[in-house]
Amino acid sequence: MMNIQRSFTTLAIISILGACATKPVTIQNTDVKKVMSVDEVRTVSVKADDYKNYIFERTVKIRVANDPSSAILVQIDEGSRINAFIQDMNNGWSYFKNKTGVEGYFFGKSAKEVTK
Amino acid sequence: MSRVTLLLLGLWLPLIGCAQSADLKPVVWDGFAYPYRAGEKDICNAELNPSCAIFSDQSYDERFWTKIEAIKDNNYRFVSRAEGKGNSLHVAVSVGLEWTLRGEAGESDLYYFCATVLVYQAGRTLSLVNSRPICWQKRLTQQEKTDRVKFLANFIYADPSETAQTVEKRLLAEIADIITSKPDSLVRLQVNAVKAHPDIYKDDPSKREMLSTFASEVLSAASSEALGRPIIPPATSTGLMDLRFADGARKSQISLPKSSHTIDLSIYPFVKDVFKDSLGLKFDRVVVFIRLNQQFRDGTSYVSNINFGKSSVPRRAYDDLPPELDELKNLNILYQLINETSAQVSKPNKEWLKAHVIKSSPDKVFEGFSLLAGELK
Repeated sequence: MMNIQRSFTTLAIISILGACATKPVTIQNTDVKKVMSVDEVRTVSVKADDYKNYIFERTVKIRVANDPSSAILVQIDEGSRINAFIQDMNNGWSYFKNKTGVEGYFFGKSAKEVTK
Repeated sequence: MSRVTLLLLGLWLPLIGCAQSADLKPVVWDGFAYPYRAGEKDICNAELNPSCAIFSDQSYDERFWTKIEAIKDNNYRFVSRAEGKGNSLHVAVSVGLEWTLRGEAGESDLYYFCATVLVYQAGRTLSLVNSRPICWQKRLTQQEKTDRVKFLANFIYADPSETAQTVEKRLLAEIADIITSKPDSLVRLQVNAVKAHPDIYKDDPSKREMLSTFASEVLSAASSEALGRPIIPPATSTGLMDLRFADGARKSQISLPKSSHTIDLSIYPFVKDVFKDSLGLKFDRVVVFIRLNQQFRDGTSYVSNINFGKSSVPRRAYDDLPPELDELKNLNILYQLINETSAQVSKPNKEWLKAHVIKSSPDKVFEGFSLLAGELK
């Protein structure tokens, strides 16, 4: 019993040290699974033809909602080329959906459609 | 399970969160501010800046702070002024223009509001890193005209509709966005001299001065919007931006980076003409003209002293139609002309230039704007 307690205590100390050394992770591409969140993304049905190729001229964060306090699903870095459906919401925000299931909103005019 | 283990477990979970937020770089939220000129009073001029009643209110201050603190970012976290130390990064919002143009009994009022999100580095001095000017144009309904305090509160933050585009929502989104922008994303473009012809508001120089501020703020915001990037705030004679914060207790002086090129704007007197169609019916229309001059630091230019004009949609001069105030119409058309002209710095449009360039070759102007747009990318 004492051995189990000692092991658990050691594990807890290691975890604390590990947590303190953790750096925030920046996800640099969209090939990630959707992060679960209490917020709900408004799902938009998109046809296959609606997906276009975009280049991101600035780094953007895809969020769960069109609100900067909502969770960040993924960050798309400047210069990334992505096949996605993007719709301007006419309020500074754009709706984003890619074929790997990432779906959310980003702020600013950063995505430029490209032919390839 | 021993007490020690429980204690360690109790410490463990909160520490995971601590470790994440401790690694995020702090950004100090400084608050809402107004341009300041030496000799002015420290308190808000409610006539000039009605929004100050909201931004100087402690409960609104707390509300905005709660919202800004909740912004999620991978690299930054917002901290209060009390936590700002040493060479920290700061964010403030400067309200550069508030102008209400009053309509008559049956007319809407027009309210113009311009604000700039400023990011600056504190050191020995405050140095601008990035800035994003934004302007709003809002018509007041008859009902809103009777309760201007409520109108302003709804416009800025209190509109309960989920789809309402309040100033607050836009500013929070811009603040969250601009801290991600690299300092080199700041386009070294600056609106320099903006002059309204002395014949405009001939008997009211203060209104003419307001018109120049209006044009300067709109041109700056529209250029930044067109480029999709931050630009340097309009030039001041000292190269410094003097701010007085809404709480009335603080002032700041931010040094602006040098621009690589500038834009000057002149506003010609407004024209109202009447023309007849083929059936002999008379129509009224308002025409506004501006002159734009872009200049690089070495004095060269791609768009040199080009005149642009825009007219209102011809309006049949029926007697039974409600009157339209020329002032509202003039300003509205000017607002549109400045916005559309600014869009040319990013995406020149041959058709638009053909319809709006006066006394110059639209093709040559297109060429000039195309070269300029290429440089600004």
